[in-house]
This record gives sequence, C-alpha cells and structure tokens, in this order.
Amino acid sequence: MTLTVENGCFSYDGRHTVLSDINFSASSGEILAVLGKNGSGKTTLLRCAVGLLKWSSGRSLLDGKDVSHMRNRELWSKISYVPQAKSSFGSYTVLESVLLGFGSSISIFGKPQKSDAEKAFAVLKRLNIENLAYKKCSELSGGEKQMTLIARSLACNPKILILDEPESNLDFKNQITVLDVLSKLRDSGICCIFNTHFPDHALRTADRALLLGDDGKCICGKTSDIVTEENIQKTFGVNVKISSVTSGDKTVKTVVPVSTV
Amino acid sequence: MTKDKYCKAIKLSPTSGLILFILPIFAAIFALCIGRLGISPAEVVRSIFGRITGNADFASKNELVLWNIRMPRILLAALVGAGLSVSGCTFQSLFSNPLATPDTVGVSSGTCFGAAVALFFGADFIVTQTVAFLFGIIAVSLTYLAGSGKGKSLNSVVLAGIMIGSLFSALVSFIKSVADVNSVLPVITFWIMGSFAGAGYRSLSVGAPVMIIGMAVLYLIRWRLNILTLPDDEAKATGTNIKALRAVSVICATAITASCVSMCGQVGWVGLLVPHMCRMKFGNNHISLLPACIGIGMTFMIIVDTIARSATAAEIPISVLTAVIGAPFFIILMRKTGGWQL
Repeated sequence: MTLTVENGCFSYDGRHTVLSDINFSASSGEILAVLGKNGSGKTTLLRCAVGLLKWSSGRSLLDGKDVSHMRNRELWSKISYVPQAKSSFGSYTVLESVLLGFGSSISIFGKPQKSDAEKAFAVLKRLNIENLAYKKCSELSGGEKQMTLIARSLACNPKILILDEPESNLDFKNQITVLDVLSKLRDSGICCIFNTHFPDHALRTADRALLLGDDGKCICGKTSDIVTEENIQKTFGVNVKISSVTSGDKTVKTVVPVSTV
Repeated sequence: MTKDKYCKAIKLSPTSGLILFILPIFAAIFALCIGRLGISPAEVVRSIFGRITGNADFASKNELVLWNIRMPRILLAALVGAGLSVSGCTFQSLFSNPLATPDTVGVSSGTCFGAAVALFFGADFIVTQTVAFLFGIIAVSLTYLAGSGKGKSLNSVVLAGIMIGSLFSALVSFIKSVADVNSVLPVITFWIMGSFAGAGYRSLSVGAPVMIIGMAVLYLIRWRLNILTLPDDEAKATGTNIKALRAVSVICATAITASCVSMCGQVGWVGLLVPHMCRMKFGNNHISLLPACIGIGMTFMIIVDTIARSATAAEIPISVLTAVIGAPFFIILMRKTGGWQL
C-alpha cells in the first residue's frame, strides 16, 4: 500500500502559506521521517496527509484513491494515526484504551467481543507491554503512554501508521524502544511515517526523510541524501558535523551540533 | 481475578449486572410499603402478582393507594433518577469536564422558563409540561447557535450554555416578579423547586417515551461513548464519525433532561452526584458505567423521594434532600475510594 501526496498546499487563514507544493510518497515496508523546525508545519503536514485537515489545494492518494473521498471506516481501517500523547478525560485501563482502536470494525450499536479483547491482548504482547494491560492510563509513565497509543493504532491492523513525534518527551531508553518498534513494524510490512525533532533518529531508523523548510517547501529522498550537514544547516540554522560511531559490529551515525549560524 | 479484569473491558460483570437490576426493584417495593398508610411488603408483593395474574381486588383502599398514588410517583422518580444520571454522565464525557451536569448547555433553565410562562397564564399540567419541554429544546438550540461559530471548540459551547442558562434564569426571575404574589408566584416557585407530587400516569405517558428512547439510544451506543472523551484527532482516527456521535449524544441527553425537568421541576445534584459515584465504583468504561448510572440513579431517586414524602408531615422539597443526603454520601465515598482520576 502506498500513500502519495501530490502538490499539497495548505494555509490556515488563506493568506499565510504553511505548506506549499508538498510531494512525497511512502510505501509498505518503509519508514519516512519528517524533519523540520518548531512551527514549520510538521504536524499540519501529517494531519493533511491523512485527511484530518483538508489540503487547500492538492491531494492525498491511498493506492491511487483520493483520501478525502474515502469513507471514514474504510480510511481508518487502513491508516492509523498516533497523535502526540495528551492526557484525556476519564482514564481507562490500557486494555480498554486499546480496544477503542477497533472503532472502525465494530458496528454503531456494537461493542467489542471476546475475540477483540484477545486481539488487543496480542497487540500488547507484540509490543511487550502486556503487563500493563490492567493499569489505568493515568498512572502510566510517558513511555508507557506512548506505547499504549501505538498499541491502539495497531489494533485495527493498519497498513500505514502515522506518528506525530512519537519519541519526543521520552527518556533515552524509551526513545530507542519506540524507534526499534518502528523498525520492527516496518519489517512486518507496515509503512511508518513519523515526525521528529531529532535528525539522529531519522538517520538511525528511517529509510527516507522529508525535510520541511521555512517557506513551506520540502525536499524528500533517501535519508542519507537528505540529512546532510549542508541541508541541516540551511533548514535549522545550526552548523553540524555528521560522524559515525562504531561500537562492536554496530555503526551509528550521529549529528553533532557545533554552533548556531 | 485476571479473567474478571479481562472481561471488565468488554462487558459488565454478571454480579454487578444482577445487583444493578435488583437494587431498584427492592427500593421500589420498599417505597411502596412506606407512607402514611403502612402496607406490609408481603401485601405489596401479593398485590403485584394479583395485577399480573388479573385476580386482584381493584377497589380496596390499599390497592388504590398503591397503584394510583405511590406507583406512578415511584415510576417517575425512577425514570428521572436514571434519566438525569445518564444525561449527566454523557455531558461529562462529551465535554471532558467533571463539572458538567445536565444543565451545562442551558436545558433546565430553558425548561423552567417555559414552565413559568405556562403557569403564569394558568395552563394545566399537560400544557405546562409540553411548553416546558419545548423551551428546553429552544434553549439548547440557542446555545448551539451561540457557541458553535468559527474556531468552534467544545469549551465555547460550555461557555455559551452558561450564558444562555443565566439568561433564562433571569427571565424566570422576571416572570416571578410580575406574577401574582398570592396565587401564581407560589405555584411557580414550588414547581421549579422540583417535586414528584404531581406524578400521574397521564403526565408519565407524555414524558416517559422521550426519556426511554433517549436512554435506549445512549445505552446502545455506550461503548462508543468512550470515544467521546478522546481528543479530536484520536477520536477521528478510531474511524468514528465524531461529529455525528456528538450530535446524537447531545440530542439524547438534552431530550432526556428536558422531559425530566418538564415532569417534575428542577431536581438538582443527581446529574452530577450519581455519575461520579458510579465512576468511582465502576470505572470510566461506559460499558459498565452507563448501566450503573441507570441502576444507581433509579435507586437513589426512589429512596430520596420516599424520605421526602414520608419523613415529615409536610413534604420536603426534593432538591433539598438530594443535596442533604447526596453530598455527605458523596464525600464519604470519595474519601473511601480515593476519588477517580481524570
């Protein structure tokens, strides 16, 4: 399955352009990282791409079908969206919360059945958080909360997973845990698109990267072609050095900030 | 234990279900026994079976008291208790606000205004009930129009509701100020204070269907009500048409509230108190929360009304008692369970 955005332009008020002429596509078995400064429109880009916001002009296609013409249930059984973790009213247990992800497969008057609960449990196992199943969401740590949201979005067996800054606000270990989950999901054939503040994380996990500039335009391509010293300096206004660190048989690329431009 | 918790996520446990079903029935039988004319529980049960099998002594004095005076009143109390609890619970979830009550969007103030106008012109009770209901719906529509402009967030609807509510309260005060002090003013004042004394099968037959339909719809979509509490994007991403879901729950909850208030005046507190008690005991999952609100709401209201009509020679206004009994009970429960987390 492929999500394609063609000539996407967006403006909240009709005067100030937030996004202009966005073109990219992402397919099953691929991770796309979206990078950009604070306020450059990363979240807006993701929300437009999945139809939560309407493009001012341009369109999003899911396997050639315009997203804005698809029925809610059809769309959200293929795509899943994981917003930035916010606390919500009335806390459910993790299992209850994950069950809400079955919304598009359950009829209006229906409620989840035992088989759904079993599926939800299987998702929790897949993410190694089945021990949290009966904990209240209000008692979770930031990392656990993020994993719960990811679990919910996986409940409906989506082909495309969109994540809005899944690893910001998390500690070192949880950041890596979330990124490794993304890699695992990619290997199982899911397409992951995620926003991030960290070029490091794009280099670590993403196959391709999209860099959003101040003018609302973007460049998109192979991560190693996009996340370069020159591009980072241009977009973020920071002089950086990209270097590799080798430990054992593992080589990790890292972006080191040197000074502001 | 684990299995229990597992099931709790998808259905109400059979034990709780049984308790919630039996509790209101016991409360009703208890309430049928109590009053100036004491009737033994055995006789009440015998009379109920007599009615079912059709060989009852319809003319006896006890039968008349039971079926023409106490029964409609208990039915009304039960319906209003369940209705206000369910709509309070729905509004809390809808606005993600623990302080929301059935009156948050201005329904009961509007309904009271309608009743005050009708009573002012000396209308009979069926007309009063109908006009009251209509004004409840008008108030909500005004709230919707005022609060759902550009950049609509649910908070602006809550604000608009408070405005419209106080507008109608002011109008009620105006009507009171021009009403005849000796005849009309007391009628309006006592009507608004809320009482089940006027209960009868005719009034029930007008108001009950709306409430029952509203509650039935909310009951049927109870799992989906969980999605109401999620932030916008999360709710949409579950494949739910969140706008339609909100519209349906607002319409049901306001219709329930308007017909409650139109039948028995303003009964304060229940819509806030009962849902919170149920949240503490049954959690926030509407799969068990909604049935709990219905069962506990009925029981609570029947008991409070029985005390209201039989504790003293004159009747105690129901709103006074819901607060006097409810508030301490609520505080005890909150301290024992540690409240419920947002």
